[in-house]
Amino acid sequence: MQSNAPSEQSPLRFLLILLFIIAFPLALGIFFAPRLVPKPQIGIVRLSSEIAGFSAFEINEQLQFARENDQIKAVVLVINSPGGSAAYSEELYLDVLNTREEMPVVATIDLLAASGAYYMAAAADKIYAKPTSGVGSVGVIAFLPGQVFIEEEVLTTGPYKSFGGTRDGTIRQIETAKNAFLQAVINGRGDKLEIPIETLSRAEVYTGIQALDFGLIDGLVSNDEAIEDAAEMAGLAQYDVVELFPLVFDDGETAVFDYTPPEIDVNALWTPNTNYEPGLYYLYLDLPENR
Amino acid sequence: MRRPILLLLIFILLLVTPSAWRYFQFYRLSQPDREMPTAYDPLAVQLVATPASSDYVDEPQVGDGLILLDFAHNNDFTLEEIGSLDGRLAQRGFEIVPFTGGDLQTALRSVNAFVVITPISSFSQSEILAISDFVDRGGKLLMVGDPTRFEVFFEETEFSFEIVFQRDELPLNSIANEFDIIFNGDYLYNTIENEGNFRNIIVNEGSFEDTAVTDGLEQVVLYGAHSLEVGPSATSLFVGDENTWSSDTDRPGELTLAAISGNERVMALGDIHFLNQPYATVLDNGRFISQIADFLTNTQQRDFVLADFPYFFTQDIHLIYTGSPELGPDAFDEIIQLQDAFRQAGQTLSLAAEPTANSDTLYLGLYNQADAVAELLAEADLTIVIEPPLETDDEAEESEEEAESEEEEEAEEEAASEDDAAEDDAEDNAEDEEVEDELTRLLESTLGKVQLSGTSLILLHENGDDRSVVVLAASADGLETAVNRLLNLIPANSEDSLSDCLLQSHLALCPTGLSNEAVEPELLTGGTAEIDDEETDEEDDEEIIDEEPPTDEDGEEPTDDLNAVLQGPIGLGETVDGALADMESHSYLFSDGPATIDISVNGDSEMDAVLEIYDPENALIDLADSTFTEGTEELLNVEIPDDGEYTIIVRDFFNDGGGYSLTVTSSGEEAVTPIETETKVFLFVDDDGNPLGDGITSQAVLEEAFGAFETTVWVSSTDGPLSLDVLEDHTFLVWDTGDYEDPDGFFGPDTEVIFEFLDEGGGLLLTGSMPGLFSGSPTADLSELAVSDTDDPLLAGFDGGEIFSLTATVPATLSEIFAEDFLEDEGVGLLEWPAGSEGDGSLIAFAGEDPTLDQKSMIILFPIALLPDEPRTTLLENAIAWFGLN
Repeated sequence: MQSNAPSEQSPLRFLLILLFIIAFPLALGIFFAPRLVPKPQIGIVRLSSEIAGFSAFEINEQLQFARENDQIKAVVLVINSPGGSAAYSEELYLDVLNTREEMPVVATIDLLAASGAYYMAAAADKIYAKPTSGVGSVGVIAFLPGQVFIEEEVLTTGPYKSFGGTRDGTIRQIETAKNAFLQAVINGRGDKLEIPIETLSRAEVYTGIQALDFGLIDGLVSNDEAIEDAAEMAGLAQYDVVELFPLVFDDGETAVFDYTPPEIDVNALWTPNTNYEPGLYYLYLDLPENR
Repeated sequence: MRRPILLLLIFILLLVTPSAWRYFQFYRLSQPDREMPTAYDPLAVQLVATPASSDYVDEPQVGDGLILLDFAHNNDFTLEEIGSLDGRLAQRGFEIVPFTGGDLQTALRSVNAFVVITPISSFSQSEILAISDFVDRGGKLLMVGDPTRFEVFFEETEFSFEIVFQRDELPLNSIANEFDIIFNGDYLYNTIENEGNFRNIIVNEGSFEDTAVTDGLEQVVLYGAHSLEVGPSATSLFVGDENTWSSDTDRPGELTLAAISGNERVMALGDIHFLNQPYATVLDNGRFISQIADFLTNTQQRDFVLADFPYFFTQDIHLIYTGSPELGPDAFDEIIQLQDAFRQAGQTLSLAAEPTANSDTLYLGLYNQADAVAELLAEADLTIVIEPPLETDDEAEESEEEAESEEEEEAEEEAASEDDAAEDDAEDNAEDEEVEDELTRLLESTLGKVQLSGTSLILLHENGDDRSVVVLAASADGLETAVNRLLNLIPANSEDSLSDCLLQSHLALCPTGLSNEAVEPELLTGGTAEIDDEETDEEDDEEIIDEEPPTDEDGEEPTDDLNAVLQGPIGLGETVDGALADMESHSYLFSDGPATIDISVNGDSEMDAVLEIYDPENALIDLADSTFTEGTEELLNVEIPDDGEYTIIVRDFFNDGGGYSLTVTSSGEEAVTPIETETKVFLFVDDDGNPLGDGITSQAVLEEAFGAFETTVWVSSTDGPLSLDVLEDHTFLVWDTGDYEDPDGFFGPDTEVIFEFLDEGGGLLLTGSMPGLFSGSPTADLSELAVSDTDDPLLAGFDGGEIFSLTATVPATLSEIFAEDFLEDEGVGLLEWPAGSEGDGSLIAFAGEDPTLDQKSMIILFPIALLPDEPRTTLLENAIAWFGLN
């Protein structure tokens, strides 16, 4: 038996169909949308001290976090550092290069990005500073090994096994490290570099204004503008700015909202510890006798 | 079927819409292109290698010498840092000796070059002058600065502290500026072409000045260098290229890294590091260091002065005694001492009879036996005047023979030409008489005329590479003091023992410090040598006893030789004082026997006196030696059986000499302790001022008046200014200014010394028209004077108001005020200006005593020589008694 009356569909049924066809997927879509399309974030990584083992580790961890976290679409490096250990500075340089392959990295200099800190910044897409920020000190400092000697009870298989090398050899190593630093700056800055390389090798600390003129930085902007530039490079219209340090090292949620970056120790910035072991440093040392 | 599909599409659409909404909300539709980073390429980094060494092979010329290296100015370097230079100097036969302090001028005497490296402390003005003088005379100077060498000091201020740098450029410049070279306080750098570092400056061919030091250099490297400025008389050795910048100016330029003075005796280098390995072998650095070593060791043109003794001797040294001296063991000791001293200086001294070529010579002798060095003295414009001539015993014998023969000849000649020669003879005789009357013992030199007595002469004579030093003195003792001066100069760090001499570059006239030094005719040295009686000098009042040894009746072996210098006789109740020299014994002859006598000798604190008595046959009767030092040795109840000549010997057990007092008394009599306060008079003839009259002094009459006392005569025009040293040991001063006025007046150096002498209680007799004490006072001509009316013992034998006329009119001081002061202090007036004269009753001579100092003074304001003989003698005798000199 057949029925031709359209009224056979009950309002309840219609309502159920409507609910299933429209409301349910919409609700489901709304439910999953933040998970499927999370709000992008720009990660803030702060280098606020001399570059050494622990500070380099902290930066490495944050950059790795940024690379592994899809929500983080760009990284802004906020730099206040005189540099430090040559090897750790190079580690950071390479790590920033690695990060830059995945997302934009913008460096912004507050007080000082000298030597190894600038080395690291040279790997970024862009470098910004303030007009009177300290920028540069492209060079190497080293403390020569002592005089060599041999001992009765200590036997080595080579004349420099106990000492690492000669004093003259250290001089050559310093010069080679300087060349590597300069090469990194040339690579990072490319055609933007306006300063002759032999002038840059004088290792002066320039102001932001001078650095911009020499092509060592890309502009004199605030940190917010630097973040906006990072967002633009990442193609972001809306985004959150997050400090990566608490995300990486703290327990999570409170840190995200309540995290306050540590205060900059200006004295440590300009008068770092001078009791260094022999070795190479990309470090700006403002020794007391230099004043 | 379409409916379900549609519914499904709607379902999906609605499901996706929120996410799409979010995406388009968060992300821009277009994204700017982003440049990917350039991959890190380690192969693109330029490596820096150590440069190669040049193939230069050092071929040193071996010589001999010393290089003085400064360590006295806080020099910031170590010997290891200049190891390469040290090695090359050693290869050339030169040794580095450190200068760690003391007198630099003395230290520079013995060296060929002076090296100053990175001094942080300043050089004194005297050191700068010494270095300048050293270079002027041909010494080499190397100055090395380095910008890495400095010291940091924290200088406290009121509220804080300042950091003060002490760098090397200021101390270096205090020397370098003398030679038109300036060390800048900068460092040089080159960021374009360098040796491994911006501060390692490569100097390339074409930048080198054409000098011996830079000969053959193509590339050298300095490792952190000051830049230098050079003045008109200096030259840059090499400069950096156009990319070498100075840290001072941060500008490039032709910046000098090394410089040399115009006379090529001074070199300045801005870096020390290239002297050290491994940099010493980089490029041509090795060659450069070798040529620096050549620069330092090539000092053939050095000029020496006497003060450089003995380091100007470069050959074997021959010691020659002038004349034909009698040399006893004392001389041998002296020679051995000299040889030892020269050996310390790396030199060889040997005794020789005559000088030979290619050797250096040290002449020792007396003025009276200076014929062997007459040529050398003449070349130095030195003339020894000894009139009348002093003759040695041999010469005296020859003279006697010649005189006899001459007399015979003269007698013949006189007979032949008596009339013609009468006038000439008269003149000659008159001259001879004058010569005989006037005893002249002078050394005429470019430094003026000086008395031979008390003066030794040291002369350096150069004849090519042969150098001679002549040492002459008036006596053997004077010669010994002069030789000691030279011995004191031999240690490289000795003090300047010529500082109290009249000194020229090649000549020194030095005081011997011997009072009343006799000008001896020939050199006789003491000791145990046997010297015949005939060879002893009778004029010297000393004899060596050398008598035949008889056999003693008591069995004592008579001595062969008492080896003592005879001092003369000694009688009963007499006390004599004597002073033993080194290795000397004194003998006294006693012939007041028969008697039983006590003999005592009292030696000074350092002397261990020994007393001996020998019979006429020189057999020992008795001896006393009971104490070690300072005490009285006595021989009591010594029986002297006859009136023969017995000998009493006094000697020091250790032969070191010393003063003593010997007394002989009859046994039972109490020995009289000798008076310790022996009067020693110092006659100061102050004749170097401006004469107010004819230029007279009272020296002769005063010497006569005080002849009974041991008197030292000091004439300021020949002996120089007075010093406390020469006044030492004298208790009484006679100050004779004659009619001279001292231009320095009251504040003159002589017056100052005399005041110090008086403060110590010394007595003073002052006579003269215008003594320094009264300089500037008014004067008047004095021709007569009156005796004051007083009963003072000083005027014993005079009548008050008695008038005396002077033998000549002379200007005299009107010093009323001073005289009144004297009288107020219980002084006494002695002589006065006569009434009606310009002085009219004011005192011209007065005396007084300072009870605080127990010091007496007598002042006579005119030359006492002008007083007639009788009153002068009386007045001086009274004065001697008043001063208690008797």
